Amino acid sequence: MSAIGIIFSNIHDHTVPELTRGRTMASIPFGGRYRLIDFVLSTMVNAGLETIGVITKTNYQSLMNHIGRGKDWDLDRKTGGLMVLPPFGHQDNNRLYTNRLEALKGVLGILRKSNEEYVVMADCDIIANFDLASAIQKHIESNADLTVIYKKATLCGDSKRTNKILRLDDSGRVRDIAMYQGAHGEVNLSMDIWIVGRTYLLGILEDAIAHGYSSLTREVLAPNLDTIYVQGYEHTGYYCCVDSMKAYMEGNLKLLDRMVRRELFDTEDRPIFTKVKDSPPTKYGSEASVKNSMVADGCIVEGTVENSVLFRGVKIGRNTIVRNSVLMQDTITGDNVSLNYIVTDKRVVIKDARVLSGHATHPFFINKDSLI
Amino acid sequence: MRKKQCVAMLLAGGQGSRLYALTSKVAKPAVYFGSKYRIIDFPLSNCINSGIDTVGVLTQYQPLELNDYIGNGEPWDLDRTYGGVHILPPYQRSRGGDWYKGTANAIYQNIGFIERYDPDYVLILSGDHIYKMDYSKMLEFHKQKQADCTIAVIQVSLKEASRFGIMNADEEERIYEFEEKPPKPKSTKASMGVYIFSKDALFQYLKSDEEDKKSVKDFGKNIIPAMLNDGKRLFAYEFSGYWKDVGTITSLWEANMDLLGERPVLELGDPNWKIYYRHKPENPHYVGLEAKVRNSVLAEGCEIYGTVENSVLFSNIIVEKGAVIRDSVIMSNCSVRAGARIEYAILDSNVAVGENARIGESIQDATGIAVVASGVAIGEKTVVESGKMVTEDVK
Repeated sequence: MSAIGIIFSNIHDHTVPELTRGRTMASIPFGGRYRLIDFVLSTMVNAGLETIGVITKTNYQSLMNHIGRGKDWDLDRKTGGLMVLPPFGHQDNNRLYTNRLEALKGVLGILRKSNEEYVVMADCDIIANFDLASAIQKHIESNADLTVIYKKATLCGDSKRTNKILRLDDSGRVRDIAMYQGAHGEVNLSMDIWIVGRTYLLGILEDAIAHGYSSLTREVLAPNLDTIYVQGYEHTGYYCCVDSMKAYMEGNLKLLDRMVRRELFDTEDRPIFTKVKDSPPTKYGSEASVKNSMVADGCIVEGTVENSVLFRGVKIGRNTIVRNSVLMQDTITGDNVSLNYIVTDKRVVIKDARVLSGHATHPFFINKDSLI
Repeated sequence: MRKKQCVAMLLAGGQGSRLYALTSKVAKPAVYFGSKYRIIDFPLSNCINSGIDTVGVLTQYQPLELNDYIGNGEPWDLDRTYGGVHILPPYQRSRGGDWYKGTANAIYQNIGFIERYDPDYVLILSGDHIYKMDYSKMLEFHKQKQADCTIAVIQVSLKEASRFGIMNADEEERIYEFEEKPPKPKSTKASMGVYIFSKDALFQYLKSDEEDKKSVKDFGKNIIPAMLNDGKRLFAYEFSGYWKDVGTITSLWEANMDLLGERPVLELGDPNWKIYYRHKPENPHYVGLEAKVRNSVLAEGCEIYGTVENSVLFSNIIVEKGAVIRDSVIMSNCSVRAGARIEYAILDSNVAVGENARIGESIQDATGIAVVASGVAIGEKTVVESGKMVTEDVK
């Protein structure tokens, strides 16, 4: 088995506009020390993929800065390794791609040149840690044209992402794909992770381009499920999709659940890698009181922190109380501050005695580099 | 041939026998320190932060873990096409070969390595101290004094001075006398084990020392006295800042504790003088609903449900509900089960402490630091007395 990975770094940027103002979906900070792309990138690396292309579109400086040459994922290779694939400008067509199909068109050359037998395509807004290698194995054994990874999920209609809802028959073959926003109830939700033979993918891409299609799922796959064999592969473990600010907040706070941490991080053979920063250890002061919280390296905690996630280099002042909040890298709070349901972006400074609060369903977001 | 101005040689072959159980399987420089680091991270980070990018690491005693840890030097930015970090074990030559017989002999056997870079100066370091030091300033001093050898010194109290190698220097900082552990010290300038030599002088004395059958091939005992005897230009470079020899259980414990407190004596958060280390992919640590963590430092991957006070915890440690850790250093991958109590102790990595077990005694009542060696299991309700060293499972 050999496979090339293709990651779409920008595809759902619009679902969390606050967080993607200056960055890609892929580079949104998550879980104290990660960026969203770390989960899918590590999943691919842990499955033995050694060639991974990351398709970018706009705002990808932070992403480049994060992944670099892929060293921290062991992808700094002479053969294959990590490739950042920025939009390809043509003489006659200078606009950026607007959909997945056009994005793939831009990397046809790479897909043609590659020697890998299979292609794994994925987005960056999914947080999961699963055994991709056995999914690829299942794909090979099933003789399917494509395999899509899905999750049995209960949705409540507040997703800002276009959901792909699958209907499967008893053998797990996909018989119908419906695409719409705000799905709710118990559904088979596509995680938009696809496994496909490389030459097969090239075939359907070339055909779709020849017909001037714009959506792979809507125009190529969904109408032809009788002839195209799409197999479903159920992901039974933890899953979270960052498809709204509320989901972002909840996704972070879910990490306070021991079972979730176990499923995401406590697997010896499937670690989640991220860029290293050589932060010093976190220091707790003599008045510190921390309960049910996740704290990354390089923090200095002098006050009270409850039900919160602190990223690397966060400082919590004396008599300060932080509850139900997500404080990104290098957020500094002064003394006597009170925060509840707050999400701060990087390097926010909150001066002494400020009192800020959002609500569970509407976390209050503070932009990068703000001074409060 | 391209040239390097200064090449560093790090003596990492010592056993560090006064650390007993902590160095039974690893060389002293590979011993864990300060929640995230190993001792060798300090000299290596100092080198790269001082602009020295060519480092030979001389290994001999239990080198496997150290080799693995240093690897290609990438964590310290020492993976270079020209220069970088090199592990230098003793090797066979066409006319025999031998173990390193002393610090001077170890460098002598690697003259060939140094010559490849044609340096003007050679920096000699050891892997048993915790300190942050800009070697480039010392090198400037060395050049300015047109010295043959410059020895970094630190002021110690007169009482402590008899435990160190003491440099007696004149007003110009020129050393006229060196006394190893003098019973009646004349000065308080203690050698830090950091030397800069002008290459030619170093090679000359290494070669003549090698021929001296009576020599024990040691820098402090042979090379420095011989140079002083010949009236060579030896200078003392005074360093002020944190410096600690972590060669004993007590000093290792103390140095770890120096990370704690309102204004820690040892500050590791300086963005301009980072201490680099090799990373393991671990998630941020978690502190539970009923946990108490006070005046302590913690690394990633820990799960704390009990009480941690005045302690240094490394990565991936589980402290269950009702367990108490005080005034202790707990290294990576240890598990402390419910109700266990650890006070004034050092636990090496992978120690499993059973429910309601007791290790050490409160710092006021203890007779000494309790030490548990790597991989040892302490059974349920077992008591390890203060000052004891445990190297095998106790039930």
